[in-house]
Amino acid sequence: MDELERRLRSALTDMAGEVPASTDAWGEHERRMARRGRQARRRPILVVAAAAAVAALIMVPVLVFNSRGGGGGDDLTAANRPPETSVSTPSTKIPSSGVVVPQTKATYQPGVGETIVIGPVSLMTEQSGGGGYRSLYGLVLNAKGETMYCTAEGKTFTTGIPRDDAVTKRACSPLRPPKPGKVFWGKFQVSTVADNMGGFVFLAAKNTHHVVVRADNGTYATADRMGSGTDFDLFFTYISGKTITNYTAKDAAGQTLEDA
Amino acid sequence: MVAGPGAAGPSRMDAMVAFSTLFDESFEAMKRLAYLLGADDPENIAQEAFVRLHDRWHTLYDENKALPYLRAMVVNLSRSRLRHLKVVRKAPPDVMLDEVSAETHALARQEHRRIREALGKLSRRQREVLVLRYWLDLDQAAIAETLGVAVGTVKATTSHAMNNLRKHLEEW
Repeated sequence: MDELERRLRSALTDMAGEVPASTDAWGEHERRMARRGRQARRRPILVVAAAAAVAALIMVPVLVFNSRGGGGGDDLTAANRPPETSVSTPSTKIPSSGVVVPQTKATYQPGVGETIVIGPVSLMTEQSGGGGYRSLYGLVLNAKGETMYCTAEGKTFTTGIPRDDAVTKRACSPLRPPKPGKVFWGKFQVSTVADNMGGFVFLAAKNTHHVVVRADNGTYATADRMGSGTDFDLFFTYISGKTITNYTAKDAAGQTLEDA
Repeated sequence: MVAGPGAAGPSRMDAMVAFSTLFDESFEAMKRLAYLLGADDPENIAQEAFVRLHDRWHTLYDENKALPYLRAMVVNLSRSRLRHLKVVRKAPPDVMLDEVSAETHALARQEHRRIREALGKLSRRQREVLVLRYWLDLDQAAIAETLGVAVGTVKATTSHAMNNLRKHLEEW
């Protein structure tokens, strides 16, 4: 190293040392990540709205055409309802908002007399109003001969990534076996703070492959199997809305098992 | 914030720990790199670089990839900032380093002031090469990767930069 190189190195080190250390760099990083998450959360809503508008542009002329007898149809009954794929918004295609939730090894410590049937199944992580996060789980328990679906919450890292910790049971609802010829044991809405997005859990008999869900805004989503029990499985999906108008259990061949 | 389940495996936890460790180890260095490259908001640049790294962490979860990506991001963001300042201030960005130095380091040693001012007179690329070489101690291959140029270009630029630096110091 020659003299100039030594002087340059010394000067650069001196200059770098003049930059004061940050006091809360990681905190600022987390704030930025949270801001990006909020921005990203708005994006899927816009995409869904655009998809709905496009679907409406396509569907309205078709309906008008049909109502004039051109299509030979008379209404939109379950039998001739447009196929899900035409305007579907599969749950897995709704983009996440920046934080990807891993399949964690969250556990639930059963209480006295309780046995775990399914779960805990990681459903979603969302930002709560105070800027923190909560991770939501679904759980099916058997207690005193009664089968119950329960919601549970787990801890997250400050970035919203769920931790592999024990989850805390929140509320439970009893499940009733379906009547003959039916498959649904229960349907539950996951309480979220998002205005335009909801989550739904379905418990359906073992021969159910997936559940097609129709939101009140006309879009469709597919609830996939997230957990498996002895008599039934747990299915979950997001929808681009807060309510659903109907849901249909399908078998592996796509045949309808129950339309509710 | 709502996110979908089943998108990653348990190793995501390790990745998060690795990211926060890298942040702790490298944030201050990246901030100082931005400062030495002439950016007037080094903290913001370092933060933005880490946010972008976080977005790509699933593909860069490896220190051998993450650090070069971070360095390149800081260099690119610093360039963007200097271009913006050049438009806003309608003044060459090289002046900025001297201005900051003059204002905040009036008592700095004469020797370092001379070198600072000489660095400020170099072209952007020449200053980048010297900072990466003599402050971050990167070898020529790493500098080439950071700047997105050939190793031969790094050699030539370093040589020209040192000659120009020497010339500016002699003019003092």
